[in-house]
Order: sequence, then structure tokens, then C-alpha cells
Amino acid sequence: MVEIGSDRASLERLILQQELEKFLYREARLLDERRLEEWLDLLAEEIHYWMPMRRNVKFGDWDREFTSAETEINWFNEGKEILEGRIRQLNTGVHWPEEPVSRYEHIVTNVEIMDVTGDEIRVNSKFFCYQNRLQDEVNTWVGRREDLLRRDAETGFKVVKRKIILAQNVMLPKVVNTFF
Amino acid sequence: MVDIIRARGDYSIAEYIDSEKGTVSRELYVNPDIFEQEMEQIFQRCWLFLGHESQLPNPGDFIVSRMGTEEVIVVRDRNDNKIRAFLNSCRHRGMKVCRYDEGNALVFTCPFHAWTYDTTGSLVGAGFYNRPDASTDTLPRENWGLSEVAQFKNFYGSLWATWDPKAPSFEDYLGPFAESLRHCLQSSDGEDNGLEFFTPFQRHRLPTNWKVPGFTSVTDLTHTAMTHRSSQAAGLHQDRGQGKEKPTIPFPQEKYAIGDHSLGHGGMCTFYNQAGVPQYTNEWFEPGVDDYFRDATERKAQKYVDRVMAPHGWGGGHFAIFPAVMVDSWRLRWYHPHETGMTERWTLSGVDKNAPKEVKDAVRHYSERFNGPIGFFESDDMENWNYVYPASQGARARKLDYFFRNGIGHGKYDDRLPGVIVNGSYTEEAQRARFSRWLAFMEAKSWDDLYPINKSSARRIW
Amino acid sequence: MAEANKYDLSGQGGIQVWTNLPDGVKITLLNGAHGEVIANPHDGGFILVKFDEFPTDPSRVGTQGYVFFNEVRSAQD
Repeated sequence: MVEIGSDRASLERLILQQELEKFLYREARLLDERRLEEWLDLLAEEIHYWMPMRRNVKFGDWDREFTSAETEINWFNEGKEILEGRIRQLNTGVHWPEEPVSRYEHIVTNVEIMDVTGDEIRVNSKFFCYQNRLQDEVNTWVGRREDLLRRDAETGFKVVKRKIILAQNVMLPKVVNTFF
Repeated sequence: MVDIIRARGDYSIAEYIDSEKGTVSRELYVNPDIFEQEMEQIFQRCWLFLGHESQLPNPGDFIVSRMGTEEVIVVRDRNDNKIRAFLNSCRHRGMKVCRYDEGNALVFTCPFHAWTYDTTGSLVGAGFYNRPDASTDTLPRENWGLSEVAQFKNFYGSLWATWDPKAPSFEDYLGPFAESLRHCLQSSDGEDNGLEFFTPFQRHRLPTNWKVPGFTSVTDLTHTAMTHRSSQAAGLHQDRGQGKEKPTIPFPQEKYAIGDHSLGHGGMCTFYNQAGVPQYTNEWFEPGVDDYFRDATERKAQKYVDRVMAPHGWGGGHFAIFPAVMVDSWRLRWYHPHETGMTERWTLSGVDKNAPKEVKDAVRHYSERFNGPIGFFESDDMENWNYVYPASQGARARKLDYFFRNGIGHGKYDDRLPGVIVNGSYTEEAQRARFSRWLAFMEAKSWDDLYPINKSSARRIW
Repeated sequence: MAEANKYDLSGQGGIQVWTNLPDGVKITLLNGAHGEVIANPHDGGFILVKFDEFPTDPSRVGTQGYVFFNEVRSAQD
């Protein structure tokens, strides 16, 4: 139990937790409300946006579980320029797996501050993303994220690095047209 | 009681294809009985693609691949260094003996009753052999190894197998396309077996019949304009910089859609009308990458100074090997049926073995963002390939036929690819050729009815 | 005679000991056979042993074979 007012560091930590949650929830809301350019604005110019593939490996061979961002094929492994291209495509109105557009709901939870160094914060969180499309097409993605955020005067924070750890091996949905 | 099959018409397999009208019954794509027959008569007989040797560099290295609906273990033996392929099913009670995607193994041990197999597939142990109370005379020894493919081929680094001992050699199976495939497995400086492939397999599910993407869409030039409207409109091609510049020296070449009605292969095709290779044009926005490829192309040109390049697809690829492999110079793509309405799509992307890291990175990142369920370009296809299935499956919809008439009757044989029909670029010649071969497989009692091809036109039904 | 039994293969801890048993360890089987570990597949079930004694089947002396964990009496250096 934190005695509010008695411990400045604890109080700052609580406020930071609150700010981070607010930021991550806002991100999810922008994605769900199809405000994709506004979402892009929350990403740092030099962002590394990475979703490795995950292998079935022998117990203990954990260094082989995730595909390498440096040498192997990954699901997402890119910077802002490519993400901008994806959003241009989604906004053409003729990207058929999103026409008519899907209903997405991103649920973000388990927000944990891992480390704070100056303006940079390592924060982990979990996501559940539900896609409902046309009449009865349903896809779900569940996983966790390891983010590096940097304080930003305009948007509160910017995402500098994001590792998305998806709980899948073969990608079961036919396409992925949202972000995590 | 209504006889459902008869209610849908008492057809022979041949009657589902109307070669006069140029149509194929939708029944072929939605009927589970036809699917089961395809698994027996096509996927049990054909040469199927397993992977690439660069995925298994060391003794004991293995990958789990697929042949049709079934998993196979592809493993490099620890002693003779040979690569073999086995059905991933314990001979005792059928459990998967390997549940990893890849790794390095001394043996594959079944977690059920501990039958264990070495990297040649031999049964080398089972629980309770050496117990004092073991009935050793009744325990399995020889002849209870893993089920091995009947024939295996390492073709310039690419790995292929068939379950049928009577299938012709892989080169005979490919026919005139053997040189085209060999060419696509060369590095950009023209060295045989010059590629390595990025790990791992990119794999995703697609709820549709395997023939929608794997058979009739693998080399479908007419879909591009509408299907890929969004990626072209969003300027995403410019992220590789394609089409940045035109070659200043035109290279004589002819482009066609082609189909081998006797062997089933075909797709887009470029014939080169003179020795040498076309001038390199800049494609990449990453610095230094064009310099590498320009230099490699010049070295290739030296090798081809007196040689005409084997015909292959446009821009280096895009033709298909029957039944479901698409070949490019920078990737191999193939389809595994799961059920009548479920398919798994696999991709491997290659790069010159000897390229520097920055070139490998550029090619790899392009592959990541182009291919598959997250690839900006290929995600366009998935909606169409998905929803043709439910919209073709109903009792009314399945009574209709698909149109494959585009260019019918306009094709002709060409000496440059013996036995192959050459037709206009935007025709459906390749698709028709695949159906000619599909019908032959579905009717044949064995490979005796399928090979050799006695008359060049023997299998051409339209 | 009490044998030095460096490797305790019993209980939950025994799984890890067995799975990581190094080459060179001497193995005695319940059937009286004896040999040396020459490879371990780390599969939790088997080790590869070269036999130097095999009372129930002398033809197996000098051969190698996979030995299942529940066939083993003891393992020691």
C-alpha cells in the first residue's frame, strides 16, 4: 500500500503508470475508430515495428523460438515508411480484405513498467484483438508487446520500438490488416 | 430418399470439364469426394516440393514440411549427410514422432510408446526392449522404420519428393520446364544452385479450395489490375523502387502465357531471342543494392555471352509446376490442401548465397512486406480467394460452371518449348493446361497411364 | 556391495539428469548388461550405449543400442 503524498517516487510511478495506460488505450481507440493517420503520429520516426514468427521448438531451445529480425523472415519487421505505405493502402477504399471495412476491437491490458531511463520507458502490455467482418468472419489475435516509449511534448509518448509477441505459429487468419 | 450425388447430375469426372464451351464445373472445387480423389490420385503420385537444402546445413538438421494433407520430416543424416523425407507418423500407432518445426536430432522419439527412429528413418529402439521380462521375439525390428518417400530429388538445391515409385524421374516430370526451374535457382550472376533461402517457411491458412490459389490463380495475369488496385494506387511498388528506370538497350524477348497440356506445368513465359542477358535496371531504394545486382548481372552476361537463357517467367519467374508450386527467381510458393475448403500457403524467399549482408537484408525486407497475410501486395488476393469458396458452394451455385475460355483455340506449339502451347499473355492457356493434366491424373489407374507421353497432343483436351 | 551412484535417476530431478546424461557415463541395465553412453538425444526417453557386457545375449557385446530409461539400474562415472 502506497501512502499517497508520503513517497514522491511512488506517486510519480503511479502517475507514470496512469499516463502510459492512457497512451496505450488511446492508441487502441485510434485503431478501432479507423483514425490511422493519428495512430501513425504516435510512432517515432525511427520506429522498429517487429512481429517475429514463433517456432515450435524443443524445451529449452528458446533462442530458436522467435525468428531473428536480423537474418530471418518475420511477420512485421519495418519502419515508419512502410507503415505509412500500409495505411495509404488501407485508405484507398479498394483494398479488398478491408472493403467493406472490418470491425476491430483492440483490448489492451497487463500494462507493466519494466524500466525508466530518462525520457525512455520500457513498458510491456498484452493485447486481445477481435476482428468481425462481413456477416460472420471472425479472427482473433492475442499476444503481448514489449515497447520502448519516449516522452513527447505533443503526443505524450512516441513508440520507438515495439516487439509484438503473437500467440500463433501458422498464421491462422488469412490476412492481417490491423496493427497491434 | 434423394440420392444427393445423382441429384447433382450423374457425371463422370470428364463431364465436369466442357472443352467446347471452355468451362469447368464448380463441383471440382467444392465436392469433398473429388477432394479425396485428388489426394489419392494427384498428391500421392506427383512430385511435390519440400523445401531447400539451405534450411538443413548440418548433419542431423531437420525441418517438418508437408506433402498434401500430411506432414513429412525432412532430415539430413548424421552419417552419410544425405537428405531423406519420411511421413511424420509413428509406425506403431500413428502418433506424430516430431512436433517441432525444425531442429537438430539424433533420433525422433515417439512420445506415445517410445518407438524411436534415427535420421535414416530406421527403428532403432522402443521402450522395454532390454527389460529382463521382454518378449524380444515379438518386438519390432526391421521393416518398421518410418514410411519414406518413394523417390527424392535434390534439384539444384531445391528438395522434391513423390510417394509413387512409378513416377518418372523429376527431370522427366518437369519436361521442358527443367531448364526453366534450374535457371530460377541460379544466383543473379548465373551460378547454378546459387541461392539460399531465408528461414523459416512463411505459412498461413486460407479458407478456400487449394485449386483456387494453387491451380488457377498462380499465374493469372488478368487479376492484377483489379485485385491489386490498392497496392498500385498506394504506390507501394515504389518502396522497392520497381520501374524506376527503363533499360536503354532493349533486349529482344517475347512474352506469352503458356501451358503444357501433357505435363500440366505452365504460366507466364519469356522467350529470349538472342544470347546474353537484359541490361540491369535499378530497382532498389536501399543504397548499394543496385550496384551489387548490376555487377552480378554483368558477370552473368559473361557466362551467357554465347548462350540463350532458358525460357522462364516474366521478370524472372511466375510459372507453375503441377500441381501447386509457383516458381520465381526470388521465391518458391506452394499450397497444401487441408480440407475441401481449407488450404495452407507456404513461401520461401531466396537470395544470392554470396551476396553481402546489405543486399540480403534488402531482399529479405522486401519479401517480408510483399508476401503472405501481412504482405501489402498479397493480402489483396486473400479476400477474393477466400470468398469464391462460400459463393460457389451452395446447391445453386455449384451447378454453375467457371469460365476458362479466354484465348481458347488461339494457342500453338512452339519449337522452343516442345509440347507446350504458347498463347497470348492475357489468356487462360496455363489454367486449361493444368485441367488437361488434372483430368488425366483423376482418370489414370497408375503412372502407366500418365507417362511417357506418347503423342505430344495426347493429353490436350482443349 | 554399495555402488557409487553418481547419477540419481529417480523422481522429477531424475528426468533432467537422464535427459542430460553426458557421454562416457557407465550404465548398468536391469538385465545385467553394461555399457557406456556414447550419445544422448535429449529426448527424455533414450540414450545410446555401447555395450561391453550383455549376459542375456552375448552377441550384443561390442554393439551399440538405444536404452530406455526404465531399463536402467544405475548410472555412474
